[in-house]
Amino acid sequence: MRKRPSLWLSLAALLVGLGLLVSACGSSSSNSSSSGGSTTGSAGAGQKGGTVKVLLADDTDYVDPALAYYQISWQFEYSTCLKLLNYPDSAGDAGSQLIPEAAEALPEVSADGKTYTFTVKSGLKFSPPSTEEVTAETFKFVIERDLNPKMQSPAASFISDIVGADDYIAGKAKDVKGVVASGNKLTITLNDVAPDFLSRIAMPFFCAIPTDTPIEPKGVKSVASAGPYYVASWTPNRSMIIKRNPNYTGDRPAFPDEIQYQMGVEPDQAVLEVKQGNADYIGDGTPPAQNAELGSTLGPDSPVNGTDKQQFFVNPILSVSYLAMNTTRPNFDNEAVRQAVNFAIDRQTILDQSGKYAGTPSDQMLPPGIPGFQDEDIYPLDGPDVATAKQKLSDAGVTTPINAVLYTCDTSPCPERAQVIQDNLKAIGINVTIKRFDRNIQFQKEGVKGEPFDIADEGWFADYADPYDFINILLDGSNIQKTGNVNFAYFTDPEWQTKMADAAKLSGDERFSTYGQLDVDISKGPAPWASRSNSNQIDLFSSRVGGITFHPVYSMILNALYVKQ
Amino acid sequence: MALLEVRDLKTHFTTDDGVVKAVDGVSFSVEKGKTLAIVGESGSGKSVTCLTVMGLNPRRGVEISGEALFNGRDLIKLRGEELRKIRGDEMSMIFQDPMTSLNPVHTIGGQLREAVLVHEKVPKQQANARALEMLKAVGIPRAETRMDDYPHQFSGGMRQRVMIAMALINNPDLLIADEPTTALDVTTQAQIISLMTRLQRDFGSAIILITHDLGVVAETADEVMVMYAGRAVERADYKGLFYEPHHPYTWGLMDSMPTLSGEDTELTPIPGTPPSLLRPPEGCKFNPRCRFVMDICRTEEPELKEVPGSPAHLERCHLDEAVKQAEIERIATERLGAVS
Amino acid sequence: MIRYLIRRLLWAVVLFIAVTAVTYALFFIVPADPARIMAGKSASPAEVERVRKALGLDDPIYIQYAHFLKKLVIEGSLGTSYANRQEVNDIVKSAAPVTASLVFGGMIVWLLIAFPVGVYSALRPRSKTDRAAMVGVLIGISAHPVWIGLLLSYFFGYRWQVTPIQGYCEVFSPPPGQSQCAGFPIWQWAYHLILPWITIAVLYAAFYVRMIRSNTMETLNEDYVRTARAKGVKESTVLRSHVLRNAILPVVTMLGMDLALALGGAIFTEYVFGLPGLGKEAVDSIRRFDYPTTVGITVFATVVVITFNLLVDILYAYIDPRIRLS
Repeated sequence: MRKRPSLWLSLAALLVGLGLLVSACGSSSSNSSSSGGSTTGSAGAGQKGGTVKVLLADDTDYVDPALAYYQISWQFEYSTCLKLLNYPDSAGDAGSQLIPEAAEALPEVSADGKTYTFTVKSGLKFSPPSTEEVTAETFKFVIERDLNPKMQSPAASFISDIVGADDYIAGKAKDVKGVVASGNKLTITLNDVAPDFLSRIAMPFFCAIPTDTPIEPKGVKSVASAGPYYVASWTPNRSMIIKRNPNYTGDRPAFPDEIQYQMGVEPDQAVLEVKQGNADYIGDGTPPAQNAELGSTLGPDSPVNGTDKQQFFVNPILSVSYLAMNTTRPNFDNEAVRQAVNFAIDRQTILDQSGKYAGTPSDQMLPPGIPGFQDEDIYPLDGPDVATAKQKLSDAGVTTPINAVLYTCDTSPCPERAQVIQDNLKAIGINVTIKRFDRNIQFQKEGVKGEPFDIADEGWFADYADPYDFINILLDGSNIQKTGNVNFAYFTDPEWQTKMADAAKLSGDERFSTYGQLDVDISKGPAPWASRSNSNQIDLFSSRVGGITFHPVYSMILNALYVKQ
Repeated sequence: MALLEVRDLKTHFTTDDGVVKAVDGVSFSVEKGKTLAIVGESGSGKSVTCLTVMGLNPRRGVEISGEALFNGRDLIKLRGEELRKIRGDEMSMIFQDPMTSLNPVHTIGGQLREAVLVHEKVPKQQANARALEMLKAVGIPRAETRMDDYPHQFSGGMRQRVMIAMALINNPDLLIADEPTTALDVTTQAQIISLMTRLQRDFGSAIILITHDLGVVAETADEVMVMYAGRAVERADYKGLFYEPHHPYTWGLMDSMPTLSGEDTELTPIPGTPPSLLRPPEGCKFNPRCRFVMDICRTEEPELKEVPGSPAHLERCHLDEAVKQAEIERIATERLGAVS
Repeated sequence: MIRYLIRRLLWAVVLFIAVTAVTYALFFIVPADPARIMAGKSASPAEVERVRKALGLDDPIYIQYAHFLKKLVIEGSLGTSYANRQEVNDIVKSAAPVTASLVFGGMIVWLLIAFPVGVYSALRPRSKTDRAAMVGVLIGISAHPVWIGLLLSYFFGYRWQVTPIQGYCEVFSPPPGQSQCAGFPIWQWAYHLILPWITIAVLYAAFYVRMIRSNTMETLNEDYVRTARAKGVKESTVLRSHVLRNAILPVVTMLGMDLALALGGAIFTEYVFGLPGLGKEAVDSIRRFDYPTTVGITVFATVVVITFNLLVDILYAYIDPRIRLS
């Protein structure tokens, strides 16, 4: 999912020379120091009432579920949306297990694994101003609206495997044949077996909205929803009000009467406002240069750590920062060289360039929060192992020095990171030339097949909590095109491709444990990446809110916050 | 009693480089209705003398001493608000460059009215009428329409007429004119001079005319004072100065005038350059440039003394009377083309 | 005067075309692919192509420019944002009043500071006040608006709680959800702009103090000032009616140029104080490769600057009779 590449850049940081949080698929590593409000257990009890005020540096992208594709919008949509399946309001592993919400139970899957049947609960009502009820028709409408070519929704790429989707998009059909709503039953048929479909259908794109919601390519500015809250008004670039849904009958927590967003607040000022109590939460991050100080006075390294007076929290999110190594280029087509790089880089120092609490060093492709993750010691996390690296090279008969071109972004801390990497690799005889680009341009260039780079400084945030979104999307060589690729390692080994494809067809525990092993095996063996770290979410709250629960998928459970009376 | 009686006036400016003695002990008087011409080159102190009398020097870095009795009151002691009331009303001044002496963003009418309204609380119509009257008096054609015009719409000569109108609008007893025709062409010069003399007759004001042009002096002056390096070097009535000049500088001035007969093939300027007022020469200030310089001139400054036989004629020179008489003869023949 | 106006108007049109064409060329010089950005990182190449077609990005340059001009001149539309599909007209409509409040308010503040200080310094050169003013000027010119803004915001907003830390409050119809703007709208609007106005004013006040000081000193030496004094005009009137009346003429022209500069410099102040104005929008749009918004704001700003300069020229011609009547 997009963290809006350049919107993560804190311009104040740029101007005042502070470090920046890394952009979209850029990354920083997490540290596993405990943090968090509650890191385990469900959202606790609290008093109803009051207004929670959230500050944002940048506006939300959209309020229309078909178009919203940004960490911030997905975060408040978690509080407003009713979906067929959803994630529980819990921290930790419990929070990433899908449970039925609008559906009475997890769907029935056909014998061939391609058809899912949901039974939609009755009596679910929308918020004002709508008077509709949520039915199976509702969800057919939502899926078709997302596929409607006029909407140009990014959701389309996630459900293009539904039968009849292509025809509908091409205008050859009036509806999507593979989605059938009959009474309270909703049946969805896919072209092929894809068990990660359930994770995909739980994305906020498939939020229940009234069937009279217009097809508006610009996105509607307000929409009724059926979750515990609804977006009552949005004035772009100014403010947004989210109100408790009076028609909600479910049992998800809904403490604050209102959640108010104020846009365009520069992070340094946002910290002052929260400290003074004029606002309650900085929605899109603290200025990195202040993290150390905040952490030692209000966070994990302070006396109030773990108490209800803690205001500053550090939590890991589903992301991985890595160096992709272009397996089509000379030298880097050699497994030994790639493994040597993995031994040579100093993950902790590289991570340090992003500031305190930025993340945790990692040597694997999947982040710890993904179901099935198996933690193994493959490469050194606390410093380089130059000896082993050099050994790998000499054992494989590789003569140094070798030259390598590294692509990275041009805003801090990318250049600083690149210099550490350059240093690390010099020690084993690889001379790195650093090329810097605007983040968007970097991403684009790396996606061009044949682009002359050897190493790409990259990162990826999960769109949904399934290992497919990491391993297959980023390493499946069967999808490589002329441009627009995200498999920056251009990894096309047929043996591994088959393994990835097979794993994708599995479901349940078997799926996750297979992927977990696949992660370890690929990292140890062909090693197309040198994974560096997993990023942290860093949050600052005012002293007057409680119930701070970090959610593994949507990062913060807004509806569980309450105003301490 | 004289209208204006100036005694031992001194104006010293304090600059970063030292004290500039622009006016260093000047005395003169002006009678009602008469014209005094002050002659000298740039730096002689003629303008500063008059600016001092008017109280138009900058406020800081200036030291003024002496007396300037005007209608019985000492202008030097007055300064400030009292002096301002007199300025533009009982005595007024016009300046050398008419092109820049009028405010470009106000109408002529407005500036004339201002001159009236500053000194008298009369209704605007009345001030307007007076302004119109003066414009006509100085000979501006179609004065009614011209009242609403701006200075840039007038020629140089016209602007000087406006200046004169502005200076005389309150019927002053004394008009000081600082080189009023220097910036104008010869024809306009003549017009302005004749205008001034006519108005002097009509309004009865005394005039101090500052000039370096002896020709203008000849046409207008009753009394003449020649200044050099901040001091008077000769003072006489018109006849005395032209027919009996007693100072080498005056001789030099007369020698450097072109004659009408056209006999000169070259002009004879006074050699040398004006003296520095910061570090003036020892002794007689004119000595570096004087044809007749003697040793005593370099050490002792001559006193201002009466010419024998003419108590009203003063001069400041060490030379023998005989030498002076010889020069007087020469000049009379060569320059004035006649025996007196 | 009429000929003067017509000439200026014609130049304004030429300028407008030149600026919009050059800005539009941005689209084609910068290597980023907006279709890719709009489609999202997970989109397949086929999906990216679909987006490209929909945005008309596969047409040749001159066709795209022609569409742009047509939309601009005939429909009065500045385009549609790639980032969130809003009409750029709407973005500009909501951001322009903010920047206008900031810049014009700041202009008034800096003139209110610069005139008294500049004139006083000119009347008393080398006095203690004059020297202090010149030091102040040096600081004003050297200190960056971000630094000033952050300092002011920290001390006056956070520490001493005399003003808000940041934020903007609409004068008319404030949007819902801004509880920090509760109260009388005009007061809240001005209250939130106090620190931003000071921040913007510091730099320009410094320039204008110097300019007014030197203009006034020059004018004080003009012959017509001496004439006025010779007429017996009161010194305060001399100052007001003769000296200042002339000394402000160059200031009026400078104001026109400085408006353009201030629009650009407003970015820093807008960022520090979280003011959702044109500067912030423009920079954000550049970072996001949201060309329509960038071009739209540039076009709008160009029109504003050209118009304002035209108005300033007319005003100047009006107050300087030498030009009015030539």
